[in-house]
Amino acid sequence: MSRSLVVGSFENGEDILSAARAARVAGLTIVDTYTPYAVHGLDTAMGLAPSRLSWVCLVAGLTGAILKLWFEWWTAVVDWPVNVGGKPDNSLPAFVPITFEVMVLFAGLATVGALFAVARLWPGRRRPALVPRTTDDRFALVIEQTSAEETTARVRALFEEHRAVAVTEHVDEGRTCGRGQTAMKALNVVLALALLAAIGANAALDRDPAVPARDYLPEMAYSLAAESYAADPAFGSGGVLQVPPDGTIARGASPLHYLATPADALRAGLELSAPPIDQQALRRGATLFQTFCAICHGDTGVGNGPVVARGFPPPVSLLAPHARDMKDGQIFHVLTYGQLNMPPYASQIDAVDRWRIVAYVRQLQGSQQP
Amino acid sequence: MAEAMPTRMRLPLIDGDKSLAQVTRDVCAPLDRRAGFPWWAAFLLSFSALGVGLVAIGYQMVTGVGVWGENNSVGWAFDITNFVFWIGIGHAGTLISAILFLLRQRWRTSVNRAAEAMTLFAVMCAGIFPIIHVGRPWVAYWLLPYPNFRGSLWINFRSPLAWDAFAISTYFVISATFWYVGLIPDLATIRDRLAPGLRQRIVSFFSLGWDGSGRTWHRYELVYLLLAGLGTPLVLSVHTIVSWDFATSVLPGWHATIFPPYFVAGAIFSGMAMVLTLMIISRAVLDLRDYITSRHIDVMCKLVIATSGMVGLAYITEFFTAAYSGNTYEQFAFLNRAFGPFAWAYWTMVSCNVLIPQVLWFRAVRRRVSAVLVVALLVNVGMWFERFVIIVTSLHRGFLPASWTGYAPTIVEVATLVGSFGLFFTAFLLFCRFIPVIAMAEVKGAMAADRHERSGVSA
Ligand code: HEC
Repeated sequence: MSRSLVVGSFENGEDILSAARAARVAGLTIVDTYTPYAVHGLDTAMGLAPSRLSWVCLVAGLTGAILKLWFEWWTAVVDWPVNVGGKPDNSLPAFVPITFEVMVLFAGLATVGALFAVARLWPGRRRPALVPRTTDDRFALVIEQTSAEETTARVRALFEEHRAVAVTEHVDEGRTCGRGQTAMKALNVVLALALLAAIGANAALDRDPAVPARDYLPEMAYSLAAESYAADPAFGSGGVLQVPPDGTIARGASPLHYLATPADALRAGLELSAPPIDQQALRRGATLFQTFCAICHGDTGVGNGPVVARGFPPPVSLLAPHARDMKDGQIFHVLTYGQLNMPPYASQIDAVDRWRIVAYVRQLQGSQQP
Repeated sequence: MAEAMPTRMRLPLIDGDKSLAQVTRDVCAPLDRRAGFPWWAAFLLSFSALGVGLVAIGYQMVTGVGVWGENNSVGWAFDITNFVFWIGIGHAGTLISAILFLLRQRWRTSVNRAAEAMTLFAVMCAGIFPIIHVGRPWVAYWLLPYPNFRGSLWINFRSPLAWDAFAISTYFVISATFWYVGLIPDLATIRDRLAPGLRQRIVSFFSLGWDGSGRTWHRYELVYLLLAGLGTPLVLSVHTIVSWDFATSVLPGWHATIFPPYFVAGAIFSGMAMVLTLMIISRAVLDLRDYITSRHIDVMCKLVIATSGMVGLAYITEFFTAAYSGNTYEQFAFLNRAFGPFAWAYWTMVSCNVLIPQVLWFRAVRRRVSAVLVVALLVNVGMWFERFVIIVTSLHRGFLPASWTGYAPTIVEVATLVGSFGLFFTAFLLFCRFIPVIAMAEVKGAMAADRHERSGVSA
């Protein structure tokens, strides 16, 4: 189908705008306009309906968001739930950021893709311009010429009234296959051949499942484990196990600031007090007493343990008034730091257990007469 | 209608009362000329810097990231500093292209093309660092959820680092799309003025057969608006998510609700400074003083000072929060920042970001392009140090005094940073040679609207 066109060229946006408005009023068919920039108001002057591309944006954005949200939920709840820091499998708030990003990604790309599709823009496309310089400084208004001869004259008059710099006539032969399209076809053929070649090559290559895949830079995947007591290559000084810095305190320990002297034992008696002890703890105290203390002090604490029978100087009786009058903290100090012939127990019995033994000693003293 | 526009610039948008053809000629002039000595000198310099970076990256990939100065306590340092620095730079491009578009700031048309290009290159530079940081860059694609033979084992969507991967890649894709869509009409202009040849064929390929049809413009304008509408929340989300990388941890100095707005303001601040730096240099070198006028520099300076104020407020708020919280760890983290071993970095940051930009209150300073350039460069330095301070000073003295350490970058890390600058400037210089740095179609449209409005007001 061929149509004949009358094209008016203008030098500025205001002229084409008024010409387009006048053409509409005169009932002429505006085929299109060609302008170097988006002339404000020209779309309404041409009578273009609002574009529906915003719907594409909305629908694509919603699709992206819903798909992504579903995918995050499916991977985290259905396909492979992994406990991450005790968070619930369906950690909805944490899924929001990525959902948002994917929504924007879908909306943006789909909108631009839709623009290219409806405006028929594609790489390599060529469209010969009806009037030169419309991408530089010329504005062209294209009007379709209907049957009557006088339309041409009317259109010319209208164009000239609106300061057109040139008026030309063209015949539109309808769609033709331009060089750009031929190039696109050639490109498609090349791409299709490349794809076929890739598939063929993939099928032709024989893969031996016994040959392991190649590891690049394997040290990163299989890290070199160093021996705990070996010399350390990274820190230079000391071994692989580093010496703890001065003043390091073990987990759960609370430091005591006493010396192994009778004066400090008295001070400990004033400062330290026993924590509450229940029946279970007391039983543990009894076991420990049997294990660590009875060997010298005897089962009842009178000082007749087995080592005494073999010549070890007998310890004072724990049931004697001196030991009865000792404060809990003072006994704790004796267990911790020792006293003359009695060795310290801090390295063998931890603080909690030492208090339990103190409680048991108290029980012994309470149940028996000296 | 016209006189109701609140954001109208009182002075003409561009200087010299240009005709449309003149705009085309002026903007395309640097593309038509052969590259001169300054361009080649700058290009060789940046390209060598890029080479240094490539050697450094090759070395650390083969040897492992142990060649960095990082240690068990300071596990993030130079790499993440550079990452956040570059990502931040990118934000000004989107601010100018999307946010100022929605706000109908017409002056943006002179700088948006270059600013968007800057965004793209900055995001590329930013991407280098986390990719190396993952340790095995050749499997960096594990960051994306794809069906695999390990289960499928999916990524942890609750992790801010996964959010980051999505945010940055979406940001890059959308920014590139936005930039390209804006570029199509200008590519058509270049296509139509080039003599047939290879270059013309390439440009023609990418111009998608654009012919300035009114129907296409009608849709195009809507799409551009939609992209701006999508880009605005996107850019805010990107640096918000970057800040969550820190804020969702429990480390004093990182664990703060102020982080998202603080990071976004800082990003725009640093980006504006980088735009100013690039614009001041390229308007002189490419002879575009009539398009990027002293008035453009003036408004950009005002944006710098506004964002500088926000950043300053954030610094003060952090200290206030620490003091008011009554939390000793929090208080220590900030005292250590200001008076600890990295106090020099902290005070460099404060002076470059808060104190020095205050000179821009004076019109005399804003008018002196050389002075503005100096301030912009210092702001860039300051913003780099801001990230360094946030990352390193918080990590090097954490909860456990036994693991307190120091940190100093190694030569490999410095070389990688140099390389990222090399990449950035190489890409920018190539951009200046082959793509119009000013959005011609947009400037023409803005000029017309501007003229219309000014005549409307006087009438
Ligand atoms: C190696 C033998 C030995 C062991 C084992 C031993 N003690 Fe002693 N203990 C002694 C000697 C000897 C004395 C007396 C030190 C002195 O002359 O002041 C003593 C003194 C004491 C005193 C101070 C009594 C006083 O009146 O001054 C207490 C309390 C005590 N021991 C509790 C214990 C407890 C509880 C254990 C178990 C953890 C224990 N001892 C284990 C040898 C031992």
